[in-house]
Amino acid sequence: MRKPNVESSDVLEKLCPSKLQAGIYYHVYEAAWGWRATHPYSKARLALVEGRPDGTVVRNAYYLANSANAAIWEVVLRDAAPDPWGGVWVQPGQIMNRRLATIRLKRDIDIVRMDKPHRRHSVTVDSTLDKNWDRWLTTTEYVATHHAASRADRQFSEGSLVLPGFQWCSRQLQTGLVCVLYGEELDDAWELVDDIALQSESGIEAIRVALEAGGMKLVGDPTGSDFDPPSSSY
Amino acid sequence: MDLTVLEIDGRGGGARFNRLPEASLVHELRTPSRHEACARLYTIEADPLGIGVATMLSLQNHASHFFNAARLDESNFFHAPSSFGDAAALWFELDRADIRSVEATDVVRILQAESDRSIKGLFHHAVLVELTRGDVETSTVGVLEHLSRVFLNSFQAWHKVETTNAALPSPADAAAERRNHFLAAGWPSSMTVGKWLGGAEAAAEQRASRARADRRILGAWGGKGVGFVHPQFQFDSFGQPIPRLEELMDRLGELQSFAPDTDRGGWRRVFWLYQPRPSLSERSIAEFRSTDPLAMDGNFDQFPDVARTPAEVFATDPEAVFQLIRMDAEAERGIL
Repeated sequence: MRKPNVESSDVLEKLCPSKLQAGIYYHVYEAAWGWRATHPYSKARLALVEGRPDGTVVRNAYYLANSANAAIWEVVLRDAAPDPWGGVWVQPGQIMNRRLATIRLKRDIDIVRMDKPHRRHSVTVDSTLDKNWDRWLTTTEYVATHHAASRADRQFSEGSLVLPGFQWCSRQLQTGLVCVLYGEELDDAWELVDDIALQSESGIEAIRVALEAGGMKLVGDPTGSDFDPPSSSY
Repeated sequence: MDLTVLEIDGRGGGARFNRLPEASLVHELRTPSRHEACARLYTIEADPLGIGVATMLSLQNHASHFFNAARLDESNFFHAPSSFGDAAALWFELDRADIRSVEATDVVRILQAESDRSIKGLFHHAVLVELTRGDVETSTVGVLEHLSRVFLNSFQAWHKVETTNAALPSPADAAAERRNHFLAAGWPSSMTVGKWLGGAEAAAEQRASRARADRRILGAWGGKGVGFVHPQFQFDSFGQPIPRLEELMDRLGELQSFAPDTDRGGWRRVFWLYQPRPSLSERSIAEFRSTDPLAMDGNFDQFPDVARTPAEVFATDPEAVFQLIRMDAEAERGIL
């Protein structure tokens, strides 16, 4: 564990990686890139995005979760809220090119855990930084989180360490844990267990189950003979 | 003409929707006997079969806006005649983002005007709020805070009920159910919209058809015998398309799901427009627009964090809806 001098722009008081436990995880990804690929242009929570702030060293991001429900909530359903009858419609464009991979981590790897109480290894409980992290891990607007990630990355670099990634409680599904790993393509510590297209019957069922876990129902796609006019009508 | 009322009962009854004959409100006004803390939001109900989805969403969001506005600006909000004094109830008119206090004696007139507009097929914007106080010792702010908590707790509880009750419908059934709620909302037909657009009455349906085909307005196919109906949010109180509607139609076309020929019935766009989105809450929009990327949480506490639909937000904040389209387009392309 390193404890550098804390500067006003620091977002961590101590650089204290923990371990991401070996086991099963879930990852929603773009079909064209494959399940091992990391995302070079992600703008999701805690991504290292060019220009936020200036001088950020962009590193690819890989998001995963400890349950299929959490993975789906984080990617597909993160901006979903129920209508008055508990229904959620997912536009087909959000899922047509996406897949859900079940992956196995074969050995423990480093991670900075920001879920509580593990966060106390990195920041003082109830401190201003602790409250800032509460916000960065819950806000729906990610620009501030990009700045935070960049500053953490810089702190690790200044301590001659490499920031491996973060783990935190899913904002979308609070029983779930989610992670971002920084770096190039996943190495041989990972292997694929299962892989389904979200647009397939199994994928739709996975989304339905994820919504049901949140007390919501999936509203089907409103196209087809019940919804569209005869071709001559408009 | 009936009313839909969202009643937020401070005595432990929670929040619930009811449908009332218009005359019953007039009767209530004559007998101001309620002295328990309660807020009631009234609006004209266009759905002949029950309480429509658009009405429920609208009342939920008006309630959220009302409580938040009252909390933020109590000193200005409760200017005369908005203090309880000897009054049994305080009345307010919510018209989009505006809140103004009104005398109880004005309520029937406002309601009648809304009713007349609705009968003529014109959109009704106004929601009437009736606020009654329980304990006379309780401050107006205290009443509002209490009712606000009741409302928020009930809002969350509604969704829990969905999970614990009967088996959930299949996605296909849920889609048909949602469409039926919209069809029952009394949205204007091609004939009505064609008349609003002006020109010869005989060509009214053709005008509406051309406007749909040109993507100047959105219609949704209601089936044979119904034809196309047109979501109400697109029209102002005079039946004219609201500003920047064509731009909205254009931009929706940027999403793969809404490309021409993939949404011939219009229902995908309707479902998108009426799906509540957390990123359209007033708080999320304020955070997005903040110039300080590391601004603290407390900076945004003044903004309600209730999900809103694009249809609801568009008239007052089209840029927020355009930003949502950009976000959805980026998500489709795997950028996020």
